[in-house]
Amino acid sequence: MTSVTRTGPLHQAHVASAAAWRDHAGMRIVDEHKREGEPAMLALGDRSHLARAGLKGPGAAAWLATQGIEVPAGPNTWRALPAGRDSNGLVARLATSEFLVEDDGVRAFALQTALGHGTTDVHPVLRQDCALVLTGQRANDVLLQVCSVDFAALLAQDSPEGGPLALTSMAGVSVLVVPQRARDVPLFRIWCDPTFGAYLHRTLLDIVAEEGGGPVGLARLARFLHPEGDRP
Amino acid sequence: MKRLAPIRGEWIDRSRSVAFELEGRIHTGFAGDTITSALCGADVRVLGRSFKYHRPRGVLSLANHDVNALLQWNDRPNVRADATPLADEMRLFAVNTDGGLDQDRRRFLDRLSPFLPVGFYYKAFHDRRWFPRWEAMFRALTGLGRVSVTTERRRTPKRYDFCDVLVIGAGPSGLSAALAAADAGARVVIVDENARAGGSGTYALVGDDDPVGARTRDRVVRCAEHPRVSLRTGTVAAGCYADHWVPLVERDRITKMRARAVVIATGAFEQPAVFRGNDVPGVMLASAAQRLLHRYAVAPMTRAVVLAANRDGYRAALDLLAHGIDVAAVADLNESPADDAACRELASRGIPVRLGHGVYEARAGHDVLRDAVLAPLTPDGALNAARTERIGCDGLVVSVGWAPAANLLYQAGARMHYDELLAQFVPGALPPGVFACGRVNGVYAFEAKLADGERAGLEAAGALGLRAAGAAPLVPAEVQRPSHPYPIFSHPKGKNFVDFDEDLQLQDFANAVQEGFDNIELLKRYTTVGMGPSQGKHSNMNAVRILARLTGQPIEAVGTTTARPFFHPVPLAHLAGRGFTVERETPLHSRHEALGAVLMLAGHWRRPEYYAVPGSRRLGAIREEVLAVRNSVGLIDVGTLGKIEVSGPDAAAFLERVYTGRFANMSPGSTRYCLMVDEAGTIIDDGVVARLGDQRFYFTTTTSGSATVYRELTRLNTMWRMQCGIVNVTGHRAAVNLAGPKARDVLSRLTRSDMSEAVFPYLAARELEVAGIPARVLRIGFVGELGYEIHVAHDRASSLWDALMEAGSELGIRPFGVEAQRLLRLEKGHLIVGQDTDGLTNPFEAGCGWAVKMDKPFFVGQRSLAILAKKPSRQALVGIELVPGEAVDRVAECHLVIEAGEIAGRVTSVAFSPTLGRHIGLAMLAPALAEPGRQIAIRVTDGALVTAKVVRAPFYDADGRRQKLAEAA
Repeated sequence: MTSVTRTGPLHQAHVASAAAWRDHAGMRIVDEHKREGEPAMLALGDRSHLARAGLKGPGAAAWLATQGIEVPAGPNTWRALPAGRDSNGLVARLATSEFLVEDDGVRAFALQTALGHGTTDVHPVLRQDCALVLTGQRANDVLLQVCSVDFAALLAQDSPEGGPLALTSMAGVSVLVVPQRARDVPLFRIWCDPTFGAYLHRTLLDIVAEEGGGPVGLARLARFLHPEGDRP
Repeated sequence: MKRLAPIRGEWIDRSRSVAFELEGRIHTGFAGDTITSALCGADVRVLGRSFKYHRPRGVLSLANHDVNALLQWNDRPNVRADATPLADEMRLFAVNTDGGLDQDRRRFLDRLSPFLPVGFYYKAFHDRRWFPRWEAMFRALTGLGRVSVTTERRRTPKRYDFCDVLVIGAGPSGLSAALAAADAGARVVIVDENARAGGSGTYALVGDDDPVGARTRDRVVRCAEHPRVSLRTGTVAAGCYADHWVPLVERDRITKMRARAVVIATGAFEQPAVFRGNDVPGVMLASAAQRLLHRYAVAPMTRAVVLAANRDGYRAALDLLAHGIDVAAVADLNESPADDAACRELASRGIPVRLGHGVYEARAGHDVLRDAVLAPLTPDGALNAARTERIGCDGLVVSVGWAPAANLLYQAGARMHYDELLAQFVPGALPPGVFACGRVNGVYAFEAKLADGERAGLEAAGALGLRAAGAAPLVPAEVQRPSHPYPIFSHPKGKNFVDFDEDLQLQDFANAVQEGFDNIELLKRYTTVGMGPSQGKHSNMNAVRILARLTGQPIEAVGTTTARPFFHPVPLAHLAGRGFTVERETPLHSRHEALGAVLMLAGHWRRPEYYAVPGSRRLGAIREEVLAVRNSVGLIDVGTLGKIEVSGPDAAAFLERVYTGRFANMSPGSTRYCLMVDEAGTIIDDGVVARLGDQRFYFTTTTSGSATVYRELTRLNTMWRMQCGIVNVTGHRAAVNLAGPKARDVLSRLTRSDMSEAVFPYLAARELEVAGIPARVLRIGFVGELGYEIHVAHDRASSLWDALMEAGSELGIRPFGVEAQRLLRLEKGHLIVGQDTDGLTNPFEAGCGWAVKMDKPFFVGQRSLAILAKKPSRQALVGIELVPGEAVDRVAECHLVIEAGEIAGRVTSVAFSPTLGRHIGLAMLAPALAEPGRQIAIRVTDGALVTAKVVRAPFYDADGRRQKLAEAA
């Protein structure tokens, strides 16, 4: 049998710029780029490796509750998973009865396993998203060039426990955007269909570069998000 | 004209000289100059030639409307000299000349003007045979700058922006509005097209110490420093759309501003008087002269005559005096002075004021103004030609009235009405969230403008729920008429221009009305008034006044023309923006590139058309791929197929309702072809349904149909409220098709599952591991061979591909592309929805009646199909073979089938089959031609007819043994 590895949607896009890679759950991810943007100013990172569980159906909210997940109260909002934002974990309510759970692995994998093929009123949704993170004081300037949503207004409603999210179109691609603040710096988490990932990443990176930023690997991103070094 | 000593508030930077060139002559200006102000500072008075008669033209407005001063700057055509900042080493040429500004060989046209009245070409050059020649001649004689088709693309990104209150116009009223709204708590953006803010407060002054200037500057500073105000100069609000979307055009980009409220403080355009010679260089609007003085420290003339009909004219006269310019006389169209105090001041300084006088004629010498000829007005408002007075001058300053810059108000949906007292259109009812202030609102006095701006700003904030501490100020009523109701004078020799863009004279309007074009919209189209580059900013109001006079109607009844976006011309590059071209790639994209794939676009997808092989051309490579599949094994990326899951207790019932086939009786682990029609019974999609469990189905759609099908299914399920969930996993799952007689051999090397015919037969579906990867494997035969469609998660696709290629290497596995697949399926006679069908094809015509189960209780399109089934077919999809020996290579898809000189069908697919060694195809034919053995004629692109024969499809392995009974084969 051939040994199995997972390949992220942006793997090829990173090949030219990556300086250091590491493995994460069978996927090679970029730890460091040759030239990186400054996350506090403007940087674009790839977190497609995070684990995701998607589900929909009239019983989805109740089912998540049985799994110990407190769901956001209304559609188009998100809520941090109990471990807090440092785990990257969140549950996003994409519609009245559709949810996305993403974290470093533990909860999302457990939910996938528990849900299996689903129940009569809860249906699993395969989520292989391209997951980007755009950070920095100038991040909103980039989004203003690709999207008609006023993210500054959404950002004003953000709190550590959760906030609003936007399902919208960005440079012609359907995306989910969660605006957050990290160390008082705007941070936008962006998900899109993985087959659009290379295009969207390329488009955003072009604008990021014009605005004086660059790509950022997971090592630097982690140092920025967790300066105390309490997280990997 | 000359440059003056430094003036307080001037916009130029005298520490930085800027050298530039106009038609070979070197000039010098300063940073901060516009091209026009720099040329004026260098005493250049002729700036361009007019559009039709090639008359010399100079400064008119200096307000971004001087369209007779358009220049070519390298590859940039039609640069507006009056508004474009001077740049180092500019090389400029006037547009629309033959031989340059001074020696324009087409200036003879001016002498022919009596023979070229408006509309002359409609009457003289309509002969069909000669029209192309006339058209070419007129296009050469008239026209604007040259467009370069080789210019390198400029980056002109578009962006969105948001604010609470957008204030358009940073003059005194706009600045006041912005401050009032911001003080009330609103996030304010204020824009102005000029290089600096302040509007009329930076030039409508009397001398440098005018308090209006100081108070305006104070407000500019306060806006710039206010934490909630963003002041953006050099920014044109080019339109006003629904929901307060306003495109803001800057030099290098457009911002689509979404404001919660909009304050329009766009001011007014000063209007020219119409008299003979009103276009002679040296005749200019008073506001233009004052802009030259106060912004650019340029004396616009040495000796001036002022034509006034309002207070602004008198103030301009005093301003000229304050800057050392000789004022020879003031002619006031009114019988009593528009400004008593100013009139007395002028008289005390020995300046003659001619009340009740107008300008009969402006005379030129060597292309520029030499004399102004004044004449008294008769009681009926005409000029008395018998009592003229000639005054030598090099400048004639005109201030007779204003037209509101109301284009954005009209676009926003405001209703305007004509105020007789002001002799101006003013806003009546304003749409919600839109406010107006200042001169566009009919408020002219400086104090009143400040108050009006504050009122508008507070009202805008109030509309957003923000309340200021103080009450809105009262706006004093205008006590003087700012505009003369009819500053228009005929002359027996004409050359009294109404529209400077199009060289329209007063008599042209009389002619148009006489010919029946007596409605403002008809008049506009016949005369082309307002259709030039300035879009009527200094001609529309006079045209309305003329039409009202000619038809005896009140101005209110005449109305105005429609003000459409854009307010100013917007470069196409700005509209194009960054240019997002969405591309979609399967997870195997890098593998295809590594294998030398030649990619093609299929919708947003980039797919391998074929894999280039050294030594083989395109067709050769495709045919080799076909033969590999037929004889060995091939692998194709079919990840672009739509992939949808339906699960839940009603999943089977749901599919029964949306597809024509029957699915409730499928056993888990099986697949079935599915065909989708719309309510009219027209084929819209097809695919394969796999039943994975009692309540779990997984199915594919066409590549182009995935989003549409998913959206439609979601809509139907919302309507029907069935107990099932629909999940679109198109992008999240990858898929490959492993096909060929050796496909089973390859797959068996990568799985522990039993792949035997007994356990995994044709049309079965299995969930198993391939190369350790969880996969859904469907045994189907689209290409007519033993085939396995293997679906895995997106992140496992590369591993799967690598494993299959490695496992198949000993067996000669070969990747194949879209073209080979199309050929393989054509050999099997399988149709492609959208290629072999069109927007009218039903299943019976396409030979898919077998996939329609009319005995079901219901499915979408069933009722229509029941009706269609009873009617004779209009067409039939059949197989064809091209008769060898003819020009068969020239037959292509969409070529028409001709029978008895009429269109009797079309070729939908055609190709040379390397397997069969002949050209085959599918054609949609009239039923009478569809009988096997019938010969048909296909007309190819060059008109030649190629013979083909109708045959039965499939062309290859008609009984399907190779895909069904592969073990035996």
